Amino acid sequence: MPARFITRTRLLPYHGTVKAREGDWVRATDVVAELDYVPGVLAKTQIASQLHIPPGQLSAHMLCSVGDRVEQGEPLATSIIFGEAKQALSTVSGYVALISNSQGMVYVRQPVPASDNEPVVIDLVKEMKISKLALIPALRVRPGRIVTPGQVLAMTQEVKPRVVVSPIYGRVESYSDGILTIMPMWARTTLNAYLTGRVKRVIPGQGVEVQAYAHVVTGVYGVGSESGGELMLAADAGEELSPAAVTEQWRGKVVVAGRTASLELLQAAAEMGCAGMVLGHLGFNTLSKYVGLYSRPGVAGEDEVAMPIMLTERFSPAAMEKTRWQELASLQGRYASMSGRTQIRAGLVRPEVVVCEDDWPQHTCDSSELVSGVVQVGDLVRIIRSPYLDQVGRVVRLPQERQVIATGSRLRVAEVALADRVIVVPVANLRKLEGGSAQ
Amino acid sequence: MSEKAFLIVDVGSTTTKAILIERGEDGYRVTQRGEAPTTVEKPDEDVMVGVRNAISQISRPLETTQFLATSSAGGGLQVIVCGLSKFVTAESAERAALGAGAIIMDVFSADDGRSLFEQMEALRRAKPDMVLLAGGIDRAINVDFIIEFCDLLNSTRPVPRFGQGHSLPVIYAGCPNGRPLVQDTLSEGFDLHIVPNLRPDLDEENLEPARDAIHDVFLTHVMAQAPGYPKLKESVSQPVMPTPLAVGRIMTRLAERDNIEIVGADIGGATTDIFSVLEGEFHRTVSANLGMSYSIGNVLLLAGMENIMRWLPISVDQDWLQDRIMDKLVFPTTVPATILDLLLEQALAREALRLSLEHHVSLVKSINKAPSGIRRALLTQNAQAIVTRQRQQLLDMRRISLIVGSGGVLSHAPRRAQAAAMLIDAFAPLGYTFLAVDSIFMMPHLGVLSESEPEIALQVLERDCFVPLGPCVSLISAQGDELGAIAARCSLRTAEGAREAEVRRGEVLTWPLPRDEKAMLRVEAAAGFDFGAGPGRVWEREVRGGVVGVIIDARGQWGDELSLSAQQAMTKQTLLSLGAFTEDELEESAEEVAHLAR
Repeated sequence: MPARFITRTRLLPYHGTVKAREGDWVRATDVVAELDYVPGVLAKTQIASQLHIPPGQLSAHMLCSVGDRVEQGEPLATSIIFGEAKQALSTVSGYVALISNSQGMVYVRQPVPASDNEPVVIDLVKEMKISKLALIPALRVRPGRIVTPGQVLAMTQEVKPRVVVSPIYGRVESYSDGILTIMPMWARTTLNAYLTGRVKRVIPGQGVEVQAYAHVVTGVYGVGSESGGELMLAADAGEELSPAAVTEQWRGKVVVAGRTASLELLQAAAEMGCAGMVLGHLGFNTLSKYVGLYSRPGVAGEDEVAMPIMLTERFSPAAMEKTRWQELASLQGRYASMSGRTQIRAGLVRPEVVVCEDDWPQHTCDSSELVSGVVQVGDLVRIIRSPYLDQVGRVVRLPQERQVIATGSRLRVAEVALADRVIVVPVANLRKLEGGSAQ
Repeated sequence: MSEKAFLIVDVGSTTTKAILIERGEDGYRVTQRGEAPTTVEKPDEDVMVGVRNAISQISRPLETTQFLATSSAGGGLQVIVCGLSKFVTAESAERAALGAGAIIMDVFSADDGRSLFEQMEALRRAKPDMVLLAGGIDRAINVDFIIEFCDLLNSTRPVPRFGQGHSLPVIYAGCPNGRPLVQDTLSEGFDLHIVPNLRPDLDEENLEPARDAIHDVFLTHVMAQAPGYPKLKESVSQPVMPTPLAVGRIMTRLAERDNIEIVGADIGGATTDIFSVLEGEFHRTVSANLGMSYSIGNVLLLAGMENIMRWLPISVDQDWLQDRIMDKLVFPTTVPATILDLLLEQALAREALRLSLEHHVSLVKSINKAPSGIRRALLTQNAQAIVTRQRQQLLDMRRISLIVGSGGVLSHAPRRAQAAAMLIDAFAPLGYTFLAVDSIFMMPHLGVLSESEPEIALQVLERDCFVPLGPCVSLISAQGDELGAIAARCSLRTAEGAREAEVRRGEVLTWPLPRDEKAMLRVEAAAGFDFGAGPGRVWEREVRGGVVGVIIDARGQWGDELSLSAQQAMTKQTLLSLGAFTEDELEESAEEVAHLAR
């Protein structure tokens, strides 16, 4: 498939700093935006009573507005009592979140620096200077619990209690022998460009739109998020590799691994640090074991796995379609961006492998990324459901009237010419093959 | 034809359906129909284009008709719900929104297990039509939680789905103490509406004001922003009604008229709606991730392979079957073209319906009385809330007199007997129940019509909307678990004569009885068996026929004690008895399985 113009919107999960500027040329791995902080705890300050004013008049006395940054000790509001100016000060540093005229209070949201990708390991015994036995009643969290910055993790029951608080947003991963491990829940502090191309638009505080001239190979199902690396062909379209095929060469590469893979091969490749894998099909059983706890397949598009996988055909046995394999083969050795994200419902997101070109043609309009799915007479089609599964033929007739098929259902059908005969197939069970249109 | 006629359109998420109801010699009937793709999205972005296309297929001078409309276009009325406690106010708010015909996009509560940051992320992603904010009973003093919700809304500023640049409607139906605070913080950036608390006390719900507000906001704000809707609003003679609300209205009218309890289902590609009218009250739940295409992977995970396989009359390899189901997820718009695929599709439908009904039962419950007197004084509010959570389920299948199915897999099943099989397997009715399917999902049209013309709407419902499948008398309980034991002696007396037969435990017996024909059905239960009159007693009543006939289901409930092969044999007998499939078709499927195994 020839290259075409595509655009991808890159957004931070929360407000941050956009590094790239409109018109910048960026490589796929370049950082285009960074997350500075994540929203933390709300701190409230009773202003009306401090200033001896009715709560309803608070707004008139405010020195700052919602959204303003304030530092600890900075005046939030002021009033004059008996000729003397009185100020109400912020007890924390952060952003003014709410000004309540009914309560006479101001709420300040404290920002929390975004954590890095590493788990936080806290030796509670050492921190609190107590024995492991004394730690048991002091512990306030259990594995699996989500913790926020400043939340108490352990506290002794003394007149002057010793306290350890969470430094990050995260989930308590484990507790053993006085050691508490917290996995950051918000680890992605930088956002890369994903595509090599030009920054088309900057979305202030949130991210960018990147345009690229690229070859896009779309799969039907995938798992895992984004990745990237050199595209490597390890097998033919119909070939099945053994785990022994995984070598040091696979590290950091997006590997086209043929027809299918065993769980052992997937695990060996992930352990090797393979950046991604492209396969024809993969049994659901194998995929479930690879992913682990599987929730809402094809709905959420948020399966966390070390190595993303893209299936080009389906779950039932099938070799990789020849044209698709050939296209991947033609891109071998180039840097490929890959996304395993699949969301079949609500917006239809399919996995993809993208290889961007540095040289652009004259006109820079985005091409349609979806081949029109409407089947017409003359189209080359593949049958994607039994009977005649995987047969390829050309549509010779599209009767206007619905027809009764073998199940007894009355449906729209197409007459498809195979090499040796013409068959009748429900239109819904045909997939138009790229490059095989009527014209 | 008389001058009184009704042109009614339902603007669905994919299809706009128009029907014309006119008076003929035998009363009001649907005389013409038309349908066209809904045009709320690009390139048309004008819902009236699809409405006109659908109406254009109807040939009648339309000036003389009354024009009515319902709508679920663009995914229906999408609402985000916030409440203080997941099982108290958030749950009540969810019920209020569902009852108003909404699709719940997300439910936020202080105890939903998500960090504030995760809630912010989810809220930013969502593009709701409105937010329903609740929390706290009338006695609540501490309203700090409202600050958190208000700040959540203020920091994320979710944008409405339609009418970008307009303020998102927020309906506050929480504790009275929170109202000034909500006004303080949300009145500027949002289109704020304040209504009475939907949960005044732990043991009291007051959902109507919130439901009415949702409906009003839907009509005056959401509809006003959706492309083409202002024109639709101007053209209709009654307010446009959300589709699920209209379904609720017609079902409630029917239940009231016949003094019965009803369960209905609408199974789609992504979601399954379950409706019920119990003790005169309408209930609705949406199982957002149970459906026949986009959500099929979820049905597989939640139901489990054993549960799906028991509905297949043949033995198949589990891995093969699993992959075949997932292939449907990958290509969600494909259709079954072999009997084997049809059997599989219908097996999955049974499980999607069964799980959706389970979900419905779990949500439709009475509210327990909170402890009173000294006990109340001694318990903390949290402890009182826990007491009110232990509630009684309202749905009792023994009291359900009518089950109505709709949605492609039921309404368009190649044979009506297949729809009957899916309904009795999925819903496991107990005692006497009448089964029907909605022929073309006409209930919304009749629901909006019933607001002004209830009798006409009910007349059309019975004549043109419902396809009567037939009465079903199901085993309620049995002593022992011996398959093949005689469960009852049955007889059916019609004007033409009588039929008699024995039905054995594990079997289904079907007798033809054409629709609108009446007959006397007698079920003499064997000792220890109960078909509705009590163990070993005679159940007898006049029944009306249907396109499938009279069904006597002596299978009853089974647990793990029945092997998979025995369950599959039972399924086979059921399908053959009902006439859902023929012996030849089942053999053909078994051959296909054998061929695939080779």
